Amino acid sequence: MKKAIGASVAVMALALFAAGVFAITETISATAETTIEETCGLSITAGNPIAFGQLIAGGNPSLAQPVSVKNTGSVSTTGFTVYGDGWQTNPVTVPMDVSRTSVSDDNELSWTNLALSSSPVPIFDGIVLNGETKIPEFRLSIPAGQAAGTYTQTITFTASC
Amino acid sequence: MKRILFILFILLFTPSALALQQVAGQLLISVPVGGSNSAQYGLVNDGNETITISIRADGDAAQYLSFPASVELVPNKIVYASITAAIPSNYNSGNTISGSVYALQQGKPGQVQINVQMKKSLTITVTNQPSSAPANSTPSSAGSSGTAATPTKNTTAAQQPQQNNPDQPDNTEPTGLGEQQPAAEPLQAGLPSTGFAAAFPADLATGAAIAAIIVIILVAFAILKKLGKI
Repeated sequence: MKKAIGASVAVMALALFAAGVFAITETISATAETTIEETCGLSITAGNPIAFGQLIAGGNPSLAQPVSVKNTGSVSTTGFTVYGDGWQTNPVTVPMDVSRTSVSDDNELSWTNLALSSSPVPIFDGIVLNGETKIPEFRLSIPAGQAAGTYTQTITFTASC
Repeated sequence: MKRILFILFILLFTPSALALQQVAGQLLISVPVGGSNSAQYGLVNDGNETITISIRADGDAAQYLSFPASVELVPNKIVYASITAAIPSNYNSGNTISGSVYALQQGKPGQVQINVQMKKSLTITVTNQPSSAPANSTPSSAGSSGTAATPTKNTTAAQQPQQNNPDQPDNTEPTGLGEQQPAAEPLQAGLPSTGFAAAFPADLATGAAIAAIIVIILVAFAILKKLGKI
């Protein structure tokens, strides 16, 4: 009889304990919070790096080389510019001015008005809508008398928002 | 099958594109004279490889700024670079200082290497200025700021200076767009706000429940023993 009562009390205690733990576990909840930021961005999706190929000093300019630039962000840019460094050779001989490269930001290839500069030049009126791809085109003209060699240049696109 | 292999080949051997984003909005930093404060410059690498971008600043504000010279960006995650402005205690110029911060990702070498760069406008608002200071003008040279609060430029992230003196105001709360937004918080476990459990943290409530059960068992045994049943 005593053993039976003892066993009953033990079972009740276990049940009570399990119920208590279950009740506490049941009331635990989870909350999560996140902040979605607006962004603008540049992605070069084609035409990188530019290769003008082999050209002759004083000869015809290169073919136009398109570069695809996409705003991968969620808002439009408030500024979109391009600038370049002067053409360099290795070993250094006679550098070539940055302005030998021209950039066109329309379909009419108005090269003369958009010589590349070491200062940022706005293109496409500074605006690339979110998700939009712009395709500026570049062209190189080698002046007569320019020393033969392998020349390199760096061009930088800059976006702001 | 051939088509799948071709697509896999393209995916494996296509070089990662230049792809850099920044959080929109202006960086606004409010700084008391003789103190410092920070804003967070949010950057995103939406390419598929980890990249390292370099940061620089220009404009009148540049001389008062310190920031990491480079930041590593893992794909598809916002990384905040801390931009700290420190105004020396002898600053006596305008109460707003403008400038820009740039994040540059370098492209692949080639005949013409293409880089992409993000530009962020930044304005420092100087507070606690002496009344004689001219309003809304910018300082003309860096030479007037040679005090203990003069910032060290282009420090690495691990070397971000703690430029606030103990007796100076510490305005570290975010101010304005583009500054540090509350990061996504981890899942938080908690009890509902009503009833017994609400008064205690989860650990305390568990302990109290176990203690109560033990007390009940002991009391039950004591009663049974007293009645001679055990």
